[in-house]
Amino acid sequence: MQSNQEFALIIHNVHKHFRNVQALRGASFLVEKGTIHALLGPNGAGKTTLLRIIAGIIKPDYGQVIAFNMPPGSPELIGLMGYMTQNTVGYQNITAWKNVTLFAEIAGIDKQMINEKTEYLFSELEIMNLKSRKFKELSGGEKRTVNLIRTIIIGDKLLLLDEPTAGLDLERAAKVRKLIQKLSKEGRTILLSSHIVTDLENLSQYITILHSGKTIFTGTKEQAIDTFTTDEKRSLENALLNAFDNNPSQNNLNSAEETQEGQLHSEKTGKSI
Amino acid sequence: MSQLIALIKKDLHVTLSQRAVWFVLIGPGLFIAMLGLTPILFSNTVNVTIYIVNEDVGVNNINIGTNATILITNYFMNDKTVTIKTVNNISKTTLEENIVWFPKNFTEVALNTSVAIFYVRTTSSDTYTRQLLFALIPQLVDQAVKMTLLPKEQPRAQLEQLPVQTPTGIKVKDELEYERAYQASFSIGYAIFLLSIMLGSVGRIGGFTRDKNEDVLEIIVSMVKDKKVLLISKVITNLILTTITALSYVIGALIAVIGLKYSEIDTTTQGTNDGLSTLVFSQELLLSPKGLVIVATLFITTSLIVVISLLIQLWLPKETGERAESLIILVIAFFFFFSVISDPFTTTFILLINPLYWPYKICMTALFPDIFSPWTYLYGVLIIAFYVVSAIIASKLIMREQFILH
Repeated sequence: MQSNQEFALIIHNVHKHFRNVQALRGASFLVEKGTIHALLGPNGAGKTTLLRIIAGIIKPDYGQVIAFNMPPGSPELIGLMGYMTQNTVGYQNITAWKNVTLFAEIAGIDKQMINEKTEYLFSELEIMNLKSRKFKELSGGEKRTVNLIRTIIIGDKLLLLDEPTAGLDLERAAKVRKLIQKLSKEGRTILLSSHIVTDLENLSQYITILHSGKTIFTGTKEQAIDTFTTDEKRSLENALLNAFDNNPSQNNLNSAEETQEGQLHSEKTGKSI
Repeated sequence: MSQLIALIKKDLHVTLSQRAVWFVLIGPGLFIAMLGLTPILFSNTVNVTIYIVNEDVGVNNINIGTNATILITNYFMNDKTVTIKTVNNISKTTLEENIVWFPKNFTEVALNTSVAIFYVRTTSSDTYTRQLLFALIPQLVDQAVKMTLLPKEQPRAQLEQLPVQTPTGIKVKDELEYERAYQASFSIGYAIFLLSIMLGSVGRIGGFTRDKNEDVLEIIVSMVKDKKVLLISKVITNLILTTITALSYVIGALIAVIGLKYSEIDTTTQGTNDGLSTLVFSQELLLSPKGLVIVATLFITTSLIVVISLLIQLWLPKETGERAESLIILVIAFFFFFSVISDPFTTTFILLINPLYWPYKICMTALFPDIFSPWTYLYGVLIIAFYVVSAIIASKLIMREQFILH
């Protein structure tokens, strides 16, 4: 049994609805500190809603979310957690540099630290030439890179990345993946949502699959392949395709609703709290 | 506190990086300065020479032509742009551009009939010159006729027209004061109207609408300790921006007023461009301590617009909010302005519920305490209540998830 201290994130039986849409109906999983955890699922599975809940933007109707032993939205989490949205966001009329530093200042990070980190990341991702360019003058991929830099600076311990490599060219995507791995090795926890199999194969250590707002799987990549593929077609991609096609009710995983209060249990992973 | 400052800094940086915003911020100031200085621009470009041909021989030592000539000459004595030359024979002015001619029997006809005819001729197409000859000079001649023919003890005819109706609930102690209040209501009403319309767009640019349009609201919300800090930051940012606009307006008006003062142009001249310059505050108001009342009024007005604008942005989703915000502010401003200029003294129900009317009314009372009842200061209670209720509503609206997601 692992203690709560080892988990950066505890998601337990989270429910959320918007008007007539039940976006989440029992999402549960754990994210170990310092790991890269992929959150997967078909469109409309509830991934973005869950990321928004973890980021403290919206509140769950029911269930529990704990980040570093604190509920989302806690002032103590500001500066520790960075959230990169699915959309490419930024103020179009200000420079790429300012689109990073002005936000980092809101997170209460020291100015000198902001400048040093921004300089380092701009150079690491080889976009130093874009420093003074207005955001609106950047390509889609360049904008996403700036978004990623902003998130990395703001999230000192936990990064919530929604499609971090979407729209990037191969070279830049590789650089981003390398950087994410490096950050993970330095101890940062990363929860990423992605549909790009390369990301999942190269980056993620753990995978959680959501389907219709429910967790249908949580575990390592290998366990996912074991669960969802046959011997002839053993690949992560096939595993995911099979998982997405599955009816969650047919899955033998216990949903969080069925677990006892305070005892989240997954038969596949053996993790429990 | 540091987060609040960072949010304000971010908002100001982002807002001021847009060129269009600068136009909105200083545009009203430039506009009112240009408007106020219009008489100088026109007057400086035209130098008019008017020939007065007085052939009037008079009757029994009464000579209206001579009196009119003296009156006109004296009237333009200090006006550097108008030169009056007198001659005694029309034949000497054959080639001149602007002529006023009193014929030989001018006084005689005036004494014997009800109509005395004099002649004005101009070959100029300049509006100012034509207004002088066809509007101002006939009034001066009319005055000369009355001064000559009417017994001295009788009052002279008033050329200035006072408002016809005395509204109920208004104490009229001094007609001149009443006239000043009427003029002031026009310039203050116009300032409030123009600023409201301009600030409607500032609210959009510096408020939540822009954050929603740029999709950054989610990121900001994920970083703020309390959403109310976000709200306060928007209020302060918008107040800073709107204060710049209000101050630019006052500075523009000051430039116009001081410009007119030192240009020695008589803006009271009938038939000149004073129609436009009345939109600018009068010298006696703006260049006195009462000017501070005007500045305070504009500041309160702009703050009310900011509050209305932010409430709409918090309430409605971005697609409808943007259009609704412009429309609502436009309707409020139009109702206020046209009600005030049609009758600046009477309060109707539609005005009573218009927030723009409240600072206007307090301002008018402070400027003209002899005309307005001190009870008018109770509008201050309405303003405070509006701020308080808005703050309560806004703090609830910002907590809604729909606000962030739509």
